[in-house]
Parts: sequence; C-alpha cells; structure tokens
Amino acid sequence: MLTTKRFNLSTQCVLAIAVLAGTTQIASAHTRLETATVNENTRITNNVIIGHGCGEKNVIGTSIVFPDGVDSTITVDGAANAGPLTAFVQNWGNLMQQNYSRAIFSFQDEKTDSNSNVVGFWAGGGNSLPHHLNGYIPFRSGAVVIEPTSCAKSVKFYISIADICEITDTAGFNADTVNLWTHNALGTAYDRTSTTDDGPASLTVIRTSALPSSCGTGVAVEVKPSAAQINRDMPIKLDGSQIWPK
Amino acid sequence: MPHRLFQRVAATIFTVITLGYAGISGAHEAGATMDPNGTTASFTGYALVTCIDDIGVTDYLVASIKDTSPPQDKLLVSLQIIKGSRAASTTDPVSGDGNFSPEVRVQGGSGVYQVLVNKTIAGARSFVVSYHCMTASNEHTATEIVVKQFE
Repeated sequence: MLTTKRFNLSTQCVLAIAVLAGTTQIASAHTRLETATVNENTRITNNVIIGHGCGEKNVIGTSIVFPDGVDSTITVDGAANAGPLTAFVQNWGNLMQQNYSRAIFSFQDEKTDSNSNVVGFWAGGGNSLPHHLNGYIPFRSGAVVIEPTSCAKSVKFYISIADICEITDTAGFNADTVNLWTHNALGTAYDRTSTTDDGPASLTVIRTSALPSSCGTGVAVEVKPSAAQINRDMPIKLDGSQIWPK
Repeated sequence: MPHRLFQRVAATIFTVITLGYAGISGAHEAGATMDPNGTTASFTGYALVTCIDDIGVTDYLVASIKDTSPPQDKLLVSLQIIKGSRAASTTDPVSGDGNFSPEVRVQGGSGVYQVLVNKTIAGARSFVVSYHCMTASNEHTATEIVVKQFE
C-alpha cells in the first residue's frame, strides 16, 4: 500500500514536471511555416503553424504578410543591396495563395496590392484556437524562379505574422492581446518587442540550377518587408473597413 | 466580447467577399478593365506567367483574350506572349461579341513568360484572358501569374 502511494506520488511529480516542461516548450514556439525551405521551381501546399495563444487567451485571428518585393529591403550575404529583387528572382509576387479552410476560423481572405496580387492573408472569427494547441492555416506556396544569371544560391523571404487574441488598437498591443511575429526594428506599431530580430517566420528558396561559373559558391539573399508595406498590409481590412487593429 | 465583435464584422463582410468573387473568373482566367477612364490609348497590362513542371514537362504557354465590353467601332483588345527570343500576338477581331480571340502559343518550355494586353484606341475595355501552361501532349501543368503593371 505504502509502495503504491509512493508510486502514485512519484508519478504525479513526474507528470507535473513533464506538463510544466511541456508548457514551457509550447509557450516558446514561434509561429512558423510547416515547410520553411523549398527548392526553386517547386509548388507545395504549406501551412502557417500557430504555436500558442497569448498566455491563457485563445487566438481569435491571424494576419500574415509576405514582402512584396517592390520596396522591400534586400541583403546579400548580410550586406545591404540597393538593386531590385528581379536581379535575384524572376517571378516574385502573387505566389502565396490562401487555401480555404474552416478547420479553425470561419472567415478568411487574401490581401492584395493595387494590381490584385496577393501579398498576404488573414483568418479569424468563428471558433477560437485554444491557447495550448497548434493551429494550421493552409496556403499554396507557389514556385519561385531564381534568376539564372544571378549568383543567388538561396533567397529567404521573411514573413510577418500577428496572432490576435483580442481586438484592440495598436496602443493596446501587449502579450495578452497579440503575438507579433514581426521584425523588431522597422519602426512600425507592429514591431515585435525583442532585443534580436527573431520574430518573423521565413520561407527559404533553394537554387537547384547551376550557378554561373563566376559566382564561386554563390550568395545568400534575404528579403524583408518595408515599414510602409507592413503599415499598409498588416491590418485586416475588407470593403474599406478595418477589422483589426481598431 | 472582442471575439464576438470579430465574428460579427467578419460575418457582415463575408457576404461582400462572396459577391466580390463573382467578378473573378475560374482558374487561369483573369479579367479586369483596361483604361477605366477611357483616355489612354496606350494602356498596357503586363504580367508574368510562370509554367512549372509538375504532372509533366511544360512545352508551351497558350493564351487568348476576350473583349467583354459592349461593341465599339475600331476598339479592339490584343494579347502578346514573349519568352526569350520567341513571341506571339492575338487580337479579338470583333469588338464586344463575347467570343475569345484565336489562341496563340509560345513554345518556351517551363519558366517565366511575359504576357501583355493592350488595345487599339482610347476607351474603357473589360476583358478576360485565358492562359494555360501545357505539355507537348496537351496536359495542363502548374501555372502562376503575377501582374506587374496595369496602367
């Protein structure tokens, strides 16, 4: 009997520690793409995976923005590059298409630029995503074609995401209302509060064609959205009315 | 409460979205109105169509254009495809009759094709473009489009 009680106590302790440890792990899970690396010329089905809510609060919606490549910031092996994205990618734009799903949220739509190209999407309403569970937001990740005359061996696109737990204005953004998986120093109201730029998700496109012989081992290109784009595209708007932020 | 607000707003807007989609036709057809103010004869739409090898190897891009506005004398819409050193052009020969132009194709394999749409004179013109990446045995391969200019 004593042995059994001791066993029960030990089991409870172990389970409690395991749960706590698990909770810590879940709480640190950033919102990321299910498939974050893809070869060029390849179209895949992908998901944005929401890892957790805002503390104990459920996620009621999400807003996702891809860099438009128009006024985006480009770096080459970490150094600023003033050239156009077309120097490295032939067909960027309108490649990320939202897949319809009511698995979590009841409403969704794509965000478009002035030429109707998709630059992001949102989902929200209906059921909320329990704060301790993963949520998958499906989309089709289109085939990116790396410019064959460039020296790019890879192109990494940073994706800004806001997981919304309560609708507020931007002044009401805090750990209880929204999880910002965004850049930390763009100078927008959507910037993540962080000492390092660890917020955004990313999609890295790997070159499969041969590099020009003059390129050596090639260069790593990275693309980040401009502050202007984030301010324009991060809000959830429909028919001219802004749903989020207030 | 905020959750309910999201639900209410989204529900209201959902109807609008549904209606909005009615203006967009099926996969691999795209429509819009060129020169909506009716003042720009040189109005040009410029898009990139990417052909991807998936169920087979892409052999060519085929496309056509249809004028969907009411008939107007001497106002015709055209489409051109360019890839590398090859190009093709087609014009919807009858203004506003609701029929597509003859199809044109450029045999450029997989990759990125340039597609232009334009018209003969000033005047608002609604149109639909049909575009498809195809294998040599006429099977449809994956097709993406991005609009770079519409002005």
